[in-house]
Order: sequence, then C-alpha cells, then structure tokens
Amino acid sequence: MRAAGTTGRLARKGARYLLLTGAAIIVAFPIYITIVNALLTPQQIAARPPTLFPLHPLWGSFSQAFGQAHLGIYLRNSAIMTVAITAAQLLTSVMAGYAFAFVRFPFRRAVFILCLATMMVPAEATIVPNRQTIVSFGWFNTFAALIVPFVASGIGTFLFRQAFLGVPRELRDAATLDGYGHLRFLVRIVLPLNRPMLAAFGIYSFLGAWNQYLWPLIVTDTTSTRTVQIGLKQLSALNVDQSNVIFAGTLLAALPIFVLLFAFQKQLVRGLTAGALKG
Amino acid sequence: MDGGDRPPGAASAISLEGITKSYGEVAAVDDLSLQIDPGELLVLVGPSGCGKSTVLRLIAGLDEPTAGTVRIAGEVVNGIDPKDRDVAMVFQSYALYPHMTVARNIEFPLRARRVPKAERERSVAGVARNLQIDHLLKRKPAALSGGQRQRVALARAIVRRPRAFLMDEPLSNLDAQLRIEMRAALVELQARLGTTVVYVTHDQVEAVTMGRRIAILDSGRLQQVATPAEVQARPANAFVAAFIGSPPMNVMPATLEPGEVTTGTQNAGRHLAVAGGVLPLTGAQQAALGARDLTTVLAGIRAEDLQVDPEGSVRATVSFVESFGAERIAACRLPATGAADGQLVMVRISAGARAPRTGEAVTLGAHAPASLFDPASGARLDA
Amino acid sequence: MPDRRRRTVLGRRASRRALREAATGYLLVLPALATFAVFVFYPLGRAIWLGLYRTSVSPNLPSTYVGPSQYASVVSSSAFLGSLWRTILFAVFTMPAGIALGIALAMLAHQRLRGIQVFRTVFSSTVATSTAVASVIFFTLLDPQIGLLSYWLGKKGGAGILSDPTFALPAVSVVSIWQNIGFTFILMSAALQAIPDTLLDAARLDGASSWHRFRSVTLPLLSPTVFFAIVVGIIGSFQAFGQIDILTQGGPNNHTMVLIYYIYQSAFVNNDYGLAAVASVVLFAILLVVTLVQFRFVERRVFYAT
Repeated sequence: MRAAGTTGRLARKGARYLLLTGAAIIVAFPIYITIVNALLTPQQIAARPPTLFPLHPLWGSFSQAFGQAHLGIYLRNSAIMTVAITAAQLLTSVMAGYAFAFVRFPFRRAVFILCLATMMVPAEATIVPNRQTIVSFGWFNTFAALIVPFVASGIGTFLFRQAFLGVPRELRDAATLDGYGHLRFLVRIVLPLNRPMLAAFGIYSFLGAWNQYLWPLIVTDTTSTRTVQIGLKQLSALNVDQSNVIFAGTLLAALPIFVLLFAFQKQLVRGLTAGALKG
Repeated sequence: MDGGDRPPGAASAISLEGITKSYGEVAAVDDLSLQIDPGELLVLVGPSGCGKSTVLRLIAGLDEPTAGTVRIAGEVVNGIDPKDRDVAMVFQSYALYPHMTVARNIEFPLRARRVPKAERERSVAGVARNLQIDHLLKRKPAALSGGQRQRVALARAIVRRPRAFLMDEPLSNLDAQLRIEMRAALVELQARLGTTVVYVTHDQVEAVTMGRRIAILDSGRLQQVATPAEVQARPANAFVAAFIGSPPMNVMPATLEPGEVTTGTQNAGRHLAVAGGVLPLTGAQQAALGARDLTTVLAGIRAEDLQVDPEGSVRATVSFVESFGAERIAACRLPATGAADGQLVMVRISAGARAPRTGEAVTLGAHAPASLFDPASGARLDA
Repeated sequence: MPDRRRRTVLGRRASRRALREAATGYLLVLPALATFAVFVFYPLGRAIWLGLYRTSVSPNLPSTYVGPSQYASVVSSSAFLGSLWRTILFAVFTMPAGIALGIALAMLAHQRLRGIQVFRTVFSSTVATSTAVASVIFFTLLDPQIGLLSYWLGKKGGAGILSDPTFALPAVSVVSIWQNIGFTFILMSAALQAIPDTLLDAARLDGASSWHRFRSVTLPLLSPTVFFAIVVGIIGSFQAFGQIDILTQGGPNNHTMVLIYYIYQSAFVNNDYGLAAVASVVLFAILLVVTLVQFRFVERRVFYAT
C-alpha cells in the first residue's frame, strides 16, 4: 500500500514536471528560435530539416542589425523618448497627485475628476486631431512630437494621489509646524515613503512608452527620429537572404526590456498589476 | 491711550478672543474666548468631537479661524504661517517620520531653521539625555515601543524651545499603566521647562490629575474654566457635572416644593423633591431661586455627598457595589417613574460603614447641598 | 474704528495664506492639466467636430459641413461595420483563450516544486516582448519561404498563412495571445497567491476533488481578476494595431481590417479625416462604455470589501 502510494506520488510529480516543461517549451519556443536563427546563416535558416541548435554560432548578424539596419539609432531614439516620457510622467503625476492629496485649492475635486476622465479617452481615438496639432506646431519628425503628448498620465496622477492619501495627515501637520513647506515635505517625507509606488509606476510608464507603436508611426518617418518598434517593421521588410539580421534585430529590440524584467522583477509585477489591484 | 487700551490677551501666553471655526453650517468651535497664562499647563477636555483638537489646530495655525483673534505672547497671529508662530505640537499618533532615525526625527525642525550641524547635534544629544532616549538615537520609529515613540515625539517638540507646546491626546495610545507614569513625567517636565502647555484630552481623569486649570469644551462651546477642585465642587452646568469626576455627579430631575425642610441650618421657603424623597436647600439657593419662576430643576449631587442613611428620605434599591481598593461605590436605583426604569445614582460608602447587599432596599440621605441646574439650559442656578 | 481696521488686516493676511495655498495647488496640477487640455480634451472635441465635415476628394478643396449625417452614413457603411465585426471576432479569438491559458499556466506554476521559479520566469517572459517584437518574430516564422511554423504546418510555399483569408485573423490572434500570455500569467499568479491556503485546505478536508476545489473555491476567488483581464482584453482588442500593421496591413482583402486599422487607413492612407474622425468617436464611445462598466464594478467591489 505504502509503496504504491509513494510510486503514485512520484508519478504525479513526474507528470507535473512533464506538463510544466511542455508548457515552457511552447511559450519559450518563439524566443528560443529567434536566438538560434540570429546565430545561423540565412541559408541554414531556410534549410530543411531546420537547425534547432546552432553548433557554429555566427555573431555578425548583430552588428549588421545594429549598424546597417540602423537598429543602433532606433534604439537610441527609443531610449531618449522612453526616458523622457517616464521622467516627465513621474514628475507631473507626483506633482498633481500631491496637490490632490495635500494642497487645498478651489475646484480641487472637479479638477481631479477631469484628470480621471482622461483615463477614459484612449489615445487611439485622438490620433487624427493630435497629428494635425503636431504638424501645426512644426513638430513632425521631432522628439517633441514623440514625447510632449505623453508627459502627463491620468492613471499616474490617480495612483500617486491614492498612495499619498495613505501618508498620515498628522505627518503633514508635524512637518508644517517643524517649518517645512509643501515642496520640502514632498521631497523629504512623501517621496521617500512612497518609493515602491515610484518604482512600480516608473516601470509601468517605461514599458508603455518603449512599446508605443501607432503614434511614433504617424509622427515620424525618418531614420533620425524613428523608434525601434517602427524600426522593426522596416527590418521585417528586409530580404529573405538577410533573415538572420531580422532575428538579431528583433532580439536587440527586446533586450532592454528583458534586462528590466530580470533586474526589477518584483517592481515590474507590481507595476503591471497596479491597475488590477487599484480597486 | 497706550496703557488703558491694552487688549485683554496682552499678558497671556496664548489668548483666544471670540474664536469661531465653522465648516459650512457646522461650527466646530463657537465663540470661544480663553486666556492661557505664561508657564501654565492648561488642560482642554471634552468628549470626542467637541472641537478641542480644532482649538489646538487654530492656535498652531494649521487652520485659520472663521472669526476671532488668536494671540501668542500678545502678538496677533491670525494669518501667520504655522512655522512662524513658534509653537510645537505633540500628536496623538506621534507623527514620527517613519523613514528617519530617531536622531533625524528630533533634529528635523532644527534643519528647517538652518541651525548649524554642530549645534543641532548638541541640542539633540541634550534633549535625548533629558528624556532618556539617548540609546535609541540610531533606531527607526518602527523599532520603538509606544512609550519610546512618545518620548521621541516630545523630544522633537522640545528641541527647538518653542514658546508653547500644544499636546493633542499625547498619552491616549499608551497602555493604562504607562499612561499614569507618563502623566506624572509630563507634569514634572513641564514644571522644569516652565513652558506654556495646552494639553488636549478626552479623559477627564487625566484632565483633573494634570491640569492646574482645566477648560471643559462641549459642542464647540466653552463650558467652564477653573481649577479641578472648583470644577468638581461647583460645576458650571449640568454637562460639566455629568462629565467630570469619577464617578461623575448624579444629576436628577427634581421639583421645587413649598415648605421648609429642617436639617441643621438649612431651612427657608422651599425644598427639593427627588424621586419621592426630600432634599434641603440652602439659604443662598433659596435666594437664587427666589427670583425665578421654576417648578422643576436638575439636582446634582456627588457620590461622596450621598450616604446610605436610615434617616434619609430617598428610597432606592442597591443594584451593585463596586470596590476600588479602599473605596466602595454603591449603584442604587431610584423608584421607577412611569414606564421608565428608575435612575441609577452612585453613592460612596464611607470607610467604616457596612456595604449594602445587592437588591437591598435602602434610604439615601445627603450631607451636603445639591447643585442646582436649569432644566432647559443646564446652567447652574446658584452661580 | 481701529478694531475694524485690524480685522480687515487680519482677514487679508489669512486670505493671502489661502491664496498662496491655492496658487501652489494650481501650479502643481498645471503641467498635467495643460497636457490633458492640448492632447486629450481638445482633440476629443475636435474629432467630434471633424466628424461633421466631409473631406473632399481633392486635397486642395476645403471640406464641407454635412452635419451629423456623416455619423449615420459611416456607422451604417459596410466597411465600418465589417471592421467593427472583425474587431469583435479578434476579441473573441484572443480573450477567452488567452485568459484560460493564463489561468492554466498560473495553476501549473502555483506549486511547491523544486525549480518552479525557472518555469515562472519562462511563463512571464513574454511581457518583455513588445507587439512589434512578437509580430516580427511570427512574421518570419510564418513566412511561406523560410518560416519554421509554415513548414511544420505543411504550408511551405504558396501564399502563406497570413495571406489566407480564413487563417489570417486567427493567426494574428495567436500572435496576440502569445504576446499577452506573460502579462495574463503574472496577473493570475498574483491573484492565486492572494488566495489563502486555508481555504483550499478546508475544501480538501471536506473531500473536494481537485477539479471541484478549482471550480468552487479558486475560480470564484479569481473572478475579480478575470473580470479585470476581460476589461483589459476588450480595450486591448480595440487598440490592437501593431500586429495588424506588421503581419497583414489589414489584408488579405480586408480580412484583418479591424476598427483601429480602418481609422489609420482612412486618415493616413486615404486622407479621409472626416471618416476617420467619425470612426474615432465611435471607438471612444465603445471604450467609454467598457470603462464605465468596469468602474461601476470596481466601486461595488470596494463597497462590499469594506
């Protein structure tokens, strides 16, 4: 009896590992084969049966993608845009969130509801007039076009307000009596107490900006301002005889976020689930 | 011109003149005037929601009054920033900055005032030694006990040597034992520093034990300002009578009946009828009542002024007897009036006397005159 | 007299303080508010307004005012209705399957086994792929000449899966499911971890089978998260643009022409701003309803929780 039970348990455990491994192979396969193909020659990629393991990896495709296919420039452009948007969203959301939580001003509630309402307007619904605005500002093909429309965030404002409301009111009173105005209270007390929120929203904002596709597509059309996501579309149009470069470029484009994923796993999870948990 | 024209609060450490603070229709504080002397420890006491914390916030400048004048050391401070009023506050929650060490917490107000580092360190060390928290300076607030946090909060208030301390229920988060210790420690500290303190509490025992003067607040209105003894002996109104004292004064409806009752020297004109029994009135009370056309009053009488007395005329049934060490209090129920249960009155059993049993029928007598209050306004009638 | 003068001075001092406070507040919200005004509220109003004007055929002629009739004509046009229908189809293809897979992977990884962290990392890894990255990977894998998936599916040569009217939208859907699986997995894992073990232990003691435990304990407790995933999924379906643009450009023969791609094509390929504006306003209206439903639900959940 006992032996049978142990065998049964072992078999169940084995089955679980088998299931997990199968699922992992399916999920990871597209990325795995992208890595493999980036290390093969175009001829090897096209050959059948396919090569599933690169015995003689070739690394030239990466420098080709980086240089000839302009991935280097596109990555730089994406980095500039993303860092600027993230920093700006953090700044404006913290400022507005603080005002809604701690500063008394007339129509505060109405203004706050106005900020909340922006969450209900998808960016996709305003691209037509927004592009006209950008063109009329003379911003077509500039970083301003990529960055300025996104320097504020409704959800960021909301999340920071909620987080700041968790700071005890008496801390504000104590700081006021200690001689600290709003700015110093914000910098010395409120922000240090809300570091997890800063990290979570920072990553949320970073991911959103980095992954943008539609907007950069319609406000830029030159190499000097094109972001890496749009660059990938250009890349995919390359000829079959450069397919290894396509795969290498795709990896290069995904690399920054992979690094982020491994470095800030906990904050990333919090950032991604922030919307779900806000209720 | 200059001498005679001095406003009433000029000599006070803190002076409130006709202060009102309304939120919409509701007045949290209603036409309050109060003078606090230099070096005084004044306790502001009242039930929760009576507006006592609002008064502190108005003095501190965290809120502005809707009407009235606030003076600190004779200077009008309405509209002056809290940081420029030079008062410190100790909060119920202590409001310590959780991410800073104890030392950083204490020196925080000095940093704001750009005190040089060496002097800051000296001040922090001095205050910490004074409050016996010098071994905690490197810890964060989360690593401290309630009593230790309380001391850190005090240290942060003391370190900048303000003109006055405002304390908002500073002991109410401590356990009972520590609270009693800290009461004494605070009184002692205040005497040593000689700084004016306005101390807010909802605990009347704390008020009576700590305050040289206590100010009782209810529904935003000041009820009485006096020494604890005065407040207990001559409560200004029925609210104060029922709020202060342990047990609080028994306040019972009574009717004024013609005819004198002779017990000792107290006789003239009328007497009080309470729950079928009879209580005498003093000559002064007779005189005070004489001018008014009243048939019913509220009679207040302390537990220690009542006794189980076979000669007494108020009949009651003993509900239970409580002992606090040497002291025993009998809760006695008066006869029912109509459908309602009879009122419970507290009676102190004198030291040598036999304690009545639960359920025992007794008669009660008074050995001191009752306080009389207007049944409509609650105001004391023999002021 | 001096008293009254003093009172006004005091009043002025207090109101100056309030004024400074108010100014601080507005200064702090100004950057956000200005951005929203220029890039959210103004364009929303302008989109509604643009929808009242018919764009002329020639780019040199001004557009003409036609009023709300353009809304009626666009909304009833077969091109618009077709794009709306394909968007709904896309949502139906991606959402139930994506959420079910997300829950399955989360359940699978929600066990105390050695090395489980490796599997968790693999399952969440696709959050690191943007739409463009995922699309380009699959674009190459589905290439009729060199694509490995085409080869394995027996579709080597010919026009390829993405050019097949029957399979194009399902293929785009699979790419989207794969790209989103990491996010759904993370979401569901977090929700699973929030379920107290004692509840499942209690069910086990009651003799419930593992399927029964899942049905009657786990799933009901996951339902708020599932609801959230559905809302995000619906909104995401209406915003899915990159995968269409890279994989099919709305083809073959409009079979992947979803609403957002229809707007894009109308506006920036055909320069028909009036038509695109109308479609944008409808897109906004649909997502507004979805979001409002979500807000109502969240409000109720908060209410019940307290």
